[in-house]
Amino acid sequence: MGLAFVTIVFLNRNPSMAASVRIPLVQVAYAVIFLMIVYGYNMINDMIENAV
Amino acid sequence: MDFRSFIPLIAAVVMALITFWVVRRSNFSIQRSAANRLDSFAEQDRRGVTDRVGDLLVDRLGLSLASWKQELRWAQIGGHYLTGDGRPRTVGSVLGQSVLFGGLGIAYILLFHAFSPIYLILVGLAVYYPYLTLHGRADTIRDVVKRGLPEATALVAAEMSAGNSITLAVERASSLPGPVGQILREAVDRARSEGALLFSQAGATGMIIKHFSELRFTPLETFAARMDAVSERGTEGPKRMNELARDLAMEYQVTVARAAETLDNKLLVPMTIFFFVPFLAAIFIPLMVNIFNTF
Repeated sequence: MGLAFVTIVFLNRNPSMAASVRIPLVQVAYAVIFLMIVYGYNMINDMIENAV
Repeated sequence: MDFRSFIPLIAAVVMALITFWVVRRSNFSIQRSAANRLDSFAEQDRRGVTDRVGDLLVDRLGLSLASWKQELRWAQIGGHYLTGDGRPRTVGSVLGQSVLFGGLGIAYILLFHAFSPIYLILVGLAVYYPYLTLHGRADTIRDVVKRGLPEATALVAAEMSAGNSITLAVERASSLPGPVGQILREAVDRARSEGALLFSQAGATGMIIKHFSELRFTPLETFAARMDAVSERGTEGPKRMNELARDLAMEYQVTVARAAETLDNKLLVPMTIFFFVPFLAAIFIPLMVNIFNTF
């Protein structure tokens, strides 16, 4: 998640990409991406806990 | 013929029906207000809308839904699907959720004319989702029970080694927190209320075997059969119970070791889906948008 965040910050600071990153559709996609990562983190955590 | 001449007649019929409906639903009996309130409290239907819809469908269509009931039973052992006052929900509540989600999906398709296959698939998924959740929760509880059996057996063995009977040992083990304790508690309570013995004796099947076999979970049935066999051992019982506890602990360790070996492979797919693909998407989505904007 940290890596994804750093990538987004990098893209946002890049003059040629900043405009694309600020489009609402891309922002929504980023929100979905973060939700997916958080959900996946919980799911994988549960899988490890249940395995042992 | 002038239609308007029928209007008073139709209005009278409608008003008569409304009056009949109101009178039938009203309770005009004269009582003390506290008693009246108590009556209405006792008769109040506390089920939610989805529960009522599901129960109605189950009753009207004569649905059996045996596998749903079994999954619901397991989920309820873990404390899921209970009402606010702790009573178990019926299988109708899950069916009601499916109907509600499906109905909302179909309403969306009809209202917005979204007759595309993807929407139909989404509606199908929405209908299936409540059962999927139920099955997932039941599976989790079964896993917890499987993991908890060695601990419960060790407790029973310790009680028996201390000189207590197997019945008393099981009664004490029923105070264990979690699903295993809950299942043992249910068996002990049933044995008490039905006046039956916990373990088989003189040809009569014990409540442990009876109750556990109703739950249809192989590790639990094996556990019940082995405990029942130990109960017939008399003075050798504590020794046999200790052996059983040791066997179950070893089986558990082997299972955990096997699970740990295959864990890497199992985690590969979810890690790819939930970490790698979103990371790539975070980079490629703005790039693709940029490319499309140039045309």
